[in-house]
Amino acid sequence: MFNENSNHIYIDRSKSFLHRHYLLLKSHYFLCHSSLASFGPILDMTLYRRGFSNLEISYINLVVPFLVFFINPLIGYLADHTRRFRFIFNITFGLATILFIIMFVLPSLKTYHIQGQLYQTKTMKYSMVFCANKDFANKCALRSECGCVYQAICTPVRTRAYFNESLSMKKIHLNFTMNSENLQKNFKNPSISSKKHSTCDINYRVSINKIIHQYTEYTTRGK
Amino acid sequence: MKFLNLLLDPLSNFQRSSLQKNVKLANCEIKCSLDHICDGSRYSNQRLNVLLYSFLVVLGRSLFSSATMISTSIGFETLHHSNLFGRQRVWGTIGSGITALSASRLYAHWKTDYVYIFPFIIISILTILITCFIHFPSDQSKKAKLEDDDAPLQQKLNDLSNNENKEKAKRKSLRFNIRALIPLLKKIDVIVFLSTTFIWGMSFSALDPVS
Repeated sequence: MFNENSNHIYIDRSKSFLHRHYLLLKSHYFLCHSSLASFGPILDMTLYRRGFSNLEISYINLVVPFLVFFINPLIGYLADHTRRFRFIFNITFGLATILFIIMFVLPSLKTYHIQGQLYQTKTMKYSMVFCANKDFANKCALRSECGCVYQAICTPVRTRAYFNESLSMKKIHLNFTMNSENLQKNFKNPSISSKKHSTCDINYRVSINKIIHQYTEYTTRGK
Repeated sequence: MKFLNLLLDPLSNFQRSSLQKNVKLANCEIKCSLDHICDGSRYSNQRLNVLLYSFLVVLGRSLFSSATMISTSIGFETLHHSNLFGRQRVWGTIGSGITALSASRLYAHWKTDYVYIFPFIIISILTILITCFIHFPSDQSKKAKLEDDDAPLQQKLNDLSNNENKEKAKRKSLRFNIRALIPLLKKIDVIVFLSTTFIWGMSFSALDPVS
């Protein structure tokens, strides 16, 4: 029933300020939705960082409305039958909080690092060869404005010529891009191994001549 | 530097013998500067972890949805008049906006996920504590207040009830007639409400699975 004239709403001045203006109820709504807002928006990002793919996150979000379709009427029936609204709210809210805390504490899904090799061709050109999935070329390229670059941490291979020498072969760090100019896909990878865990979608070969020459010039100047 | 010499020096004996094929210089680990963007294939035997994550997220979200529904019931049970609900509920929207903005600013400063989980825990505990102290008025006091509020309307309702009896006969014949809804569509409030709900629902359903 809608009261067209809101000035007729009764205000009991015998009650305290807290109850007169329903401050506890206002606080309840303020805090309830604040807690949802503090963690809800980053829930999918958390799953992504833990190693879930976009498809898996979509499937998880797809199931939620269907489960809500069954759970909400059950809890509503329970609340109407027992008339203990605050108790049921506290139990439901507390349980949801505990579940999210457990989820946050769980370890991430473990993934293998992408292994690549640095090759020097017979024409004295340098290329990085590795195997990855189809989205690899776009993943970091799309986030270039966030400062995302592809990196390679290379450990030199000890050759016979240098076997007896005491080499201080430190790891070198290279940043490279996956542009269409320096990128080749699906060529014959000479170093692909038949390990059980390797799932090779696409063989990538990235030309890194400029990067190597820049690196050597930079290091030579530093001497 | 020895590695650089390998790159820059003239061909050694070893390299001359490798002229016919590419020379492998180094083993590299490929990654991206941002974490978890460029991971390789997943370890095997992690199905239990995946299911556990899925179960926790799905059930947690469903329970939060149910808690929101119960909080609406708490609101209507507490208030002596349903028209006051909007003024209480708006504080939920204000709270969610303030907290989401604050959490994002804290993350921009500290760059850790703990700025989300710790406020979440603290605010959840406060919510549960505050809810325990919400006072439900007795049914008699609610009824007395409701009668005082609605006294001016009682007279109008008495007049309307006389007309309703005459319209009941017409309503029976129009019970399942969709033409009874047409007068509602002439009201601008109804048009705005239906349009907003329809567009919001379509947008939300399209974005939510891949949010």
